[in-house]
Amino acid sequence: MMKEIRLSESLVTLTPRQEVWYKFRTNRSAMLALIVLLLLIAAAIFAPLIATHGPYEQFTDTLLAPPYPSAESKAGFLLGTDDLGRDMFSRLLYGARYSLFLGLAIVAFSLIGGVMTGAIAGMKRGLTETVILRLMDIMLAIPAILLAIVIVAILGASLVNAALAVSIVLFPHFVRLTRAAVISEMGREYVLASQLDGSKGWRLFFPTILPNISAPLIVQSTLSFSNAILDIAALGFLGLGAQPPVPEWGSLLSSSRELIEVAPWTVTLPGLAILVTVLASNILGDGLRDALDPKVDA
Amino acid sequence: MPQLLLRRLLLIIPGFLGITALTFFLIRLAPGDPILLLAGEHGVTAERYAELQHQFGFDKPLLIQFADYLWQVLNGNLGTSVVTQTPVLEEFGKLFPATLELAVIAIIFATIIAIPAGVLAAVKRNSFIDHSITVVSLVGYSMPIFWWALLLILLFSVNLGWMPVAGRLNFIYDIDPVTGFMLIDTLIAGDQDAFLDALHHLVLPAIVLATIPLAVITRMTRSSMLEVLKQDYIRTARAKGISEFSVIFKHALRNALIPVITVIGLQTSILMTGAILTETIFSWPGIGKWILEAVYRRDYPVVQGGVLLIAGLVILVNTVVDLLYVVINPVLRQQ
Repeated sequence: MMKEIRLSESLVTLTPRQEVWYKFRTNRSAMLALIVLLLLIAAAIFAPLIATHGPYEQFTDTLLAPPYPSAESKAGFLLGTDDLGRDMFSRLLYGARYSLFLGLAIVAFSLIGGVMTGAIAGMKRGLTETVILRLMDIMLAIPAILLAIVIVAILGASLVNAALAVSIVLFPHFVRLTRAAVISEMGREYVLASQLDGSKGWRLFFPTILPNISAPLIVQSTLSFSNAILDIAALGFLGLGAQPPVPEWGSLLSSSRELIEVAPWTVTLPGLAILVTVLASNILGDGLRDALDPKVDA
Repeated sequence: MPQLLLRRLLLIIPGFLGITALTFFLIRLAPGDPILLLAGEHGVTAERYAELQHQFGFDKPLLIQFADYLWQVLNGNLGTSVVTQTPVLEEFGKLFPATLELAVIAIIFATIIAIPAGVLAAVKRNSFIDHSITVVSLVGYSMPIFWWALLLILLFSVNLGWMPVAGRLNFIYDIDPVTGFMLIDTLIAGDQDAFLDALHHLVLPAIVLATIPLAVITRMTRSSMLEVLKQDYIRTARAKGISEFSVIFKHALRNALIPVITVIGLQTSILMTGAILTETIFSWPGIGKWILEAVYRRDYPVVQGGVLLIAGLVILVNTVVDLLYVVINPVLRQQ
């Protein structure tokens, strides 16, 4: 009996945040995904320290060296070289900077824009809401890559424009999610209390409503991060994103397409990097959803 | 229910209008003059330039151009390709069967694997099989399909030599395009070898295009089955002594399929996105490759008309799926 009371007491003292962390920590695959992502981010940040060569450095006497372990591997080129004798390992490391940081920037951009637009729709209602929602429906009706391609075609093919296009594509999801969440919170007592205190508009939204709708937004951000990386890579692959010789993973794949028969590793490695990153952030997103959703009990 | 259906149908109109406006104005923002681009290195004289500008209607105010365009779209005229001088709708009609054939084969392939896999995972919850299916579908869901296509080409075409790398049919066969669907046209021509060759060309692109829908449908089937298997009526069915097979496939699956069918319907957008990448890699002469090439060439009318047609298609299919959902869901049907 005593023991039971103690147990429940110790549960009560957990703050909501601790509870979420506890649930998340017990999810082994989500923890693994988090570690992989943190390692990738660290690798991207410290790329100049880890890389064995410069990303654009050409070693004309070691063209198309296969990665270890192979009889023809050249010392110092862990993952082999490409057709211009550039070190694949170093290029992939520097490529992580483009994919990961662009992914983060894209998500931040569409998260901030989407949350503010969604909040306006959810708090103003009426005509404003209808116009915003219809516009988002139209954007969602155009397949994501197609919309991004059209935007890039208009702005011109470059990495920055591709990132802008992808954040425009991801934006409607945040708008719809925020609007729905805001509407469901608007009638709650704590919101009413704050309104009686005289807060309205952004002063009501940011300090009062936003913290209470952050859970679905966090999950959506993680899943959008993986979409952002996939779309940026796809645009790079189609020649509409990063331009060679930039070692962004998608454009690495596109320039090594012709090498598929002579140097398959120049094709397999960049794609593997994309897959691992996207997979890790999807698993992380699933884990966060399970941990943050009060309905799913561990 | 009729009111619900009517409301849903009426929503198509602002959707189409909005997409027409969006594509029209987006394209006009583009830098680069389509006439100069068409003229190439030689350039054009000022007179000829004005003449061409007038011919394409580029000299009118933007709003008038939009009104003209809208009127033409309503009359079924989506403009003429600047590059090939063929009507956009005609080009679309010619290429669409190739995309549709690929997409239909892909979605059938995805469904017949995904539903049994999802059911199996749910029934054997937390077993090794369940974990394997979950992991594989997560990998499929995260797959950069353009890389996946290259991997399959590397393995099956380059290394093993089992599969063709590109196109819909070997050039040695000469098949009249009756329906535009290669599998049907070869059968009409009565050429069995050509039919097998067409099927052979379909395998890799169909696998690539099916990958993401396969993962999505598997995940959906699994979670929907898990939800249904918790219900009281399943316990009742078991208590009545009905065989486990019958409980799962007759009682559980039929109810679990309602959200799954919706998800299958909603794959249109994913299939179209996939078609752009898949068709480009496999040189598949469909609308995905067509629209991407139009973007490269700044062929405004084709991009405009193509996006409009694809988005219209997505809206149409999504509406049908919504309506179907009302029809197949007994709870909504009675309202």
